[in-house]
Amino acid sequence: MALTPPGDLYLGLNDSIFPKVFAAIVSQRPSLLNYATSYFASNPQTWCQPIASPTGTPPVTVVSPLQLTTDNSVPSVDLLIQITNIAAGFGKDTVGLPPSMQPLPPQRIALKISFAARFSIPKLDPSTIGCPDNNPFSKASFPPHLCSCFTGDLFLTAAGDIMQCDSNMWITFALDQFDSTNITPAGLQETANYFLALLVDTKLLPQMWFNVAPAVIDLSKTLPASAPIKTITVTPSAPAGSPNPNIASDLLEARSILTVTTP
Amino acid sequence: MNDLTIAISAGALEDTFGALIEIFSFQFSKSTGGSVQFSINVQCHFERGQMTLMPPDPASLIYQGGYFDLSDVVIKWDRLDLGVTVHIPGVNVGGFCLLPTPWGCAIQIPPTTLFDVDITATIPIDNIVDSRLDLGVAPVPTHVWNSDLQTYQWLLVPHVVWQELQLLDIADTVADLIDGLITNLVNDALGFLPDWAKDIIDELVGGLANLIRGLLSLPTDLQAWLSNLLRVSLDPFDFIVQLVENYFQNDLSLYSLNDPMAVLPKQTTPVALPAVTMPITNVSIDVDATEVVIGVTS
Amino acid sequence: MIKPGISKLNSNIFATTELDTSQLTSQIVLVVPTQKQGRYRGVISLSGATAATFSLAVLPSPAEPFAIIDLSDIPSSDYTFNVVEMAGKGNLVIHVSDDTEGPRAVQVANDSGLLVDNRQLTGNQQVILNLYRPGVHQVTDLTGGGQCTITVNQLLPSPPPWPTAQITVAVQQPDPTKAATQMVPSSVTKSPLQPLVFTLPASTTTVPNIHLVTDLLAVTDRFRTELTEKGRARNFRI
Repeated sequence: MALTPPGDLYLGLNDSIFPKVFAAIVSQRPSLLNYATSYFASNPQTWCQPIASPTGTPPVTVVSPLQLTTDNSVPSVDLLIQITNIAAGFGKDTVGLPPSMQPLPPQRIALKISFAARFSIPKLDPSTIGCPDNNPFSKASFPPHLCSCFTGDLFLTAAGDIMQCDSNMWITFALDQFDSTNITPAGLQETANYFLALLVDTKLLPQMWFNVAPAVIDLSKTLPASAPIKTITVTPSAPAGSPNPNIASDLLEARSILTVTTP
Repeated sequence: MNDLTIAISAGALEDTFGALIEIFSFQFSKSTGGSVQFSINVQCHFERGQMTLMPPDPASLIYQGGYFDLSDVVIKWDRLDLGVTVHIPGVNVGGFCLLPTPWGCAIQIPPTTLFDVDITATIPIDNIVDSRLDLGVAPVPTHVWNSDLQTYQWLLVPHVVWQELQLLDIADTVADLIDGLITNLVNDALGFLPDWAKDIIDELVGGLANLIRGLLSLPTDLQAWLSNLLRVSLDPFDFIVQLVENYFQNDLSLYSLNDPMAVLPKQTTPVALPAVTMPITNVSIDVDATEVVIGVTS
Repeated sequence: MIKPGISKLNSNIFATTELDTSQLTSQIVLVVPTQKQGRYRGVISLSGATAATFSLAVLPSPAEPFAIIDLSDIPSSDYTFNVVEMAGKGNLVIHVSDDTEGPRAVQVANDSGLLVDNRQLTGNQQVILNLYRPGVHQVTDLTGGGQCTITVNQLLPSPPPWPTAQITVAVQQPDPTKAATQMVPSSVTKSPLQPLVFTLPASTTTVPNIHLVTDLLAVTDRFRTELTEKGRARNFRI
């Protein structure tokens, strides 16, 4: 099973690691998966799914509420979004993509993100409106209406890229297609899709960008202090025509070449 | 099936491991006991030879697992000094019987005893000894506690699984060197004396150089003698390989993974959060002719 | 003194090339016949101060024919018994094996008289001098003026082995009324390894004791012989 030739180094990630990574995140950094405004953050009884967090770790990432007005005359909209599962297939649709996204194009990771969400939206009590010509809402009352939780699945395909930044080599991902199921009507589904996609692109996926550097043979820290300094450089490289990273058959593979130089 | 697979080609290994071998530098002294004491003062380093990856072979008599075969590793001497310490027995001068009688000596004049001391000399032999080493090194995954980093680690530690010293090559100029050594020994014994006194000593002992040669009991085949001295009595090579093994096992690992390994690094903003980690349950290694494959399972 | 020599050679015998019987070094041996029975006290001095003492018992026959006293190595801190045969047959052999601390002097006496004092050597005592340095030495008796020229020749025979047999020189006082001594033979050629045995004349009022010194008049190094300053001062002819 010659993995390396003609390059020097090979790194292969099997998607079997994904469920284990997810379980670790759930138990160690739930705030990556749960986003809430401060109202929901401080009221655990309102959560759609319970969150267990280790001591010292916040259970949610606090986000700003949605404002309708720039002054505080109208209270804002509170929201809670919880990611309940992430499944991934490298180069293979093991997650059950919807027909609109099939077949899985080559060199793609298939992702299914399951989520639960709810909003708390203030409702104006008309009996509390004040005089229209003098700050009608200043003394108005807006009891919040806690909407029910709703769930959905977001399907995504992501492409990988391998790039060298100084002494580190990174594998990064970005979404290209996404869709969800079981949200109707279509307009709401589209809204939810883009909203979640924004969340995934800016908050979730960057956390998954993988620094390859620690997986390279690290000789520098084992050299004795008196040893002549040799530099070991790793450069991403693959035979012409084959993609790097290569995402196929449950595997994400990155290849590079290694050079040892003595000054 | 591994969660994470890392493979290194034979060529990359040869470059990096070969570079590592050349960094080692050793320094030590060893000596033998006995009436003539030999010692060596060594400083040396390696020059890499050939490296071949050997896949596992259950029928092998040497080692069944996969290993790196390093052949023709040259031992380069930065210093190789051979020291000799010889004990010169006491030599009497001036004693005689002043009044012999049929019943023995009636007046015995006592002699003065010279020597009964150790003399030492050293010669460099780095230019005449040429040796090469063959080593078999197997990478073994080892689970250890790193107290500096306060974490467990999986390390790939190179183990020397066999070694063989090729025949020592000793230049035929060894005879000249031994002559030089004996001259140095004679100088150590007599160097401070004026010429006339040296002549008297030579007369008394029948030539100090000859006396020393006799004490050293050097055979005619000096190359074989020196080779035997170095390989058997002094044997710096065994010591060198021991030093290499200690270095490999204590100071060097080819690869290291923290256990548990971090899958998400720790965060400092907006809130300080520790890294997200997963335990490693197994690290395996496969050596085959073209590459070494490391498998990690969480 | 060539001090570094001692560590390897264990002796200073090549260090001193001129000898003086009043200062005993490793190249001088005294042979002293015993006289009356009795016990004697020996005192050894080093640089003028007492360094050690010992006791001597001269016994009637049978007893050991000679006792060897090493002035630099008296076994126990105060004294040891050196048992010597009765007067007339026994001898003391006095030598210094280690003269690195300096020359020594010895005096052995009891209440009835002096047995030996190296600063006043007398008749029937013998002095053995070991002269190793190739060249020409002159032995002089300072009290009576007798002299003997010793040529130490390392080329004779060539090649070695050198002869090692001792050579005897008699110090004589031809005329007891005159304070003059002579040495017979008056010149000797020897190899470096041959000891010189000087026999001394009986004590007289004119020459009560003998004091021998040697002077190096010429040195021979390999094939060249050169006068020393003393040799030039005495107008010595090679």
